[in-house]
Amino acid sequence: MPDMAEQKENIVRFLQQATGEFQNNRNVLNLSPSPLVYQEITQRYLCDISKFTDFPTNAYKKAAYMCFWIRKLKPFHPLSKEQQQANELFAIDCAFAMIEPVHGLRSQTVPIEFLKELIHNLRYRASSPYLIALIFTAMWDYQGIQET
Amino acid sequence: MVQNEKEKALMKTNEQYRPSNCEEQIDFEVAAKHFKEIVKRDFEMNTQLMKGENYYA
Repeated sequence: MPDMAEQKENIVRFLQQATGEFQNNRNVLNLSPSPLVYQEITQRYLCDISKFTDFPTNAYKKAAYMCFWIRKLKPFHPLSKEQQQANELFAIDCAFAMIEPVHGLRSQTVPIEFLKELIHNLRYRASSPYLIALIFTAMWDYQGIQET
Repeated sequence: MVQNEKEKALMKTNEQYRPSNCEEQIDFEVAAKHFKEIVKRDFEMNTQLMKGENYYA
């Protein structure tokens, strides 16, 4: 298992690479996030995850903490309505990228309307990592379909 | 769905369920590669999801 410094470096690199992919594919986000935001997200994520040293935790919960801090610290500064929910979308895409290698691909039976509501709630309503983890668990384990 | 099939489906769901205290490691290098796949796979859907909508306005 990597030590804390290595883990921190890996996570920052993950966020940087993910941002690059996200921006390349969308070709709409003109403002690059400050590297400090990645450090801050990573620090908060690790601080929360380290609480679970004595109580192991699964990928859903870890992804939920990552999702929570990205959506809270908002690395992007959207310039138009077309990009308005970029931070929330980036947050769930990062979470999915953490979960799918462990639990298999997200079922394509999850309706887009549900994802819209999830993003809307992440943006406008109070949400906690615990609740986000429960939503992810339901999306994978209760679907009963693992398309690996 | 007949009763037997329902029970089988429920059993399968129960087997797939992982309790939250089951330790799972995240490999962030793998996650970064997978992110690339996700943005390509979900491009159309993400275009819709990125837009702000007057949901419940």
